[in-house]
Amino acid sequence: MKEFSTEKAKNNNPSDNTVKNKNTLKNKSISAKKVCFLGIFTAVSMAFAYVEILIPLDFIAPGIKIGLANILPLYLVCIDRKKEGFAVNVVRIILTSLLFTNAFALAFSLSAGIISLLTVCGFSKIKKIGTAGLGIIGGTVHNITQLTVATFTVGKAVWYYAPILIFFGVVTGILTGTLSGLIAKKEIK
Amino acid sequence: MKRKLFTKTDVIVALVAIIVCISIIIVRQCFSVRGKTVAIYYNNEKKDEFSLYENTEKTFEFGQGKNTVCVKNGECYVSFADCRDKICVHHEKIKNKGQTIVCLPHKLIIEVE
Repeated sequence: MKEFSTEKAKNNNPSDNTVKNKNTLKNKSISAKKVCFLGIFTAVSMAFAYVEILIPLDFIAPGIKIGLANILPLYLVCIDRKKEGFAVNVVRIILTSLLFTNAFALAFSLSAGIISLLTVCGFSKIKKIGTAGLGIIGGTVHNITQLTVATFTVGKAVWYYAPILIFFGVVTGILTGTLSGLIAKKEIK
Repeated sequence: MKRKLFTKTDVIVALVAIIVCISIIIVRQCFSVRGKTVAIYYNNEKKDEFSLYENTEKTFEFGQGKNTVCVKNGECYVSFADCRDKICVHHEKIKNKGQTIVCLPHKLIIEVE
């Protein structure tokens, strides 16, 4: 997995932050350090996604995953860095689908990932909610979105699995949210 | 901004999700109607139909592979299929209207009507 992180860092080289960069007009420059961190986060999320493929939970219902790859984007959202979390999530989904699964699964994962992270971003404005709650919301919305997309391809029969998917969305959401919260408790400069 | 791990709001969110889950199951049980016939669809075209009240056993091969559909004691199930994942064979027996058994590799849909 080291190759992935160096590849990411190469693509976002610091030479983009030269004076000729148009962002300096609005004083919005992205530091190379931040870009490196996001690259590492994306690589680690992809590693988690690969590990998940090795643990198939498909016997319960099609499309059930532990969702470990969502820990890091969720952590970024909990830290209040929503745009970074969103970016890491989208890039991770696209790269993972292109590398490990097929383009057909890309449509499912991408739509589910975008909509679930958007709802989590929306709910994160409620200050009383803890990280586990955000994880629950993310997991449940992710599964429901996948179910909705599957309805267009497979048909209405797929909604038979809705209760199982919602339940497992809650369970995995609690796990993912707690892990993200534990990471958030440690200060990363 | 510090955010707690597990608060009372989280419990409420989890309970809401589980209540939605259980209510879907309850509503489905209340509205389930006993089926009359079993229809076989290949590529979304109706190919065959038989009654749920007669014990039958029929093998279908529409060019993708074999599936053996059995009707016994008012329930319908797939007893044999030569597809790779055999989800259709492991599916539970269906008897209510609207229930389906799908064999995706063979593009076969068995529906109770």
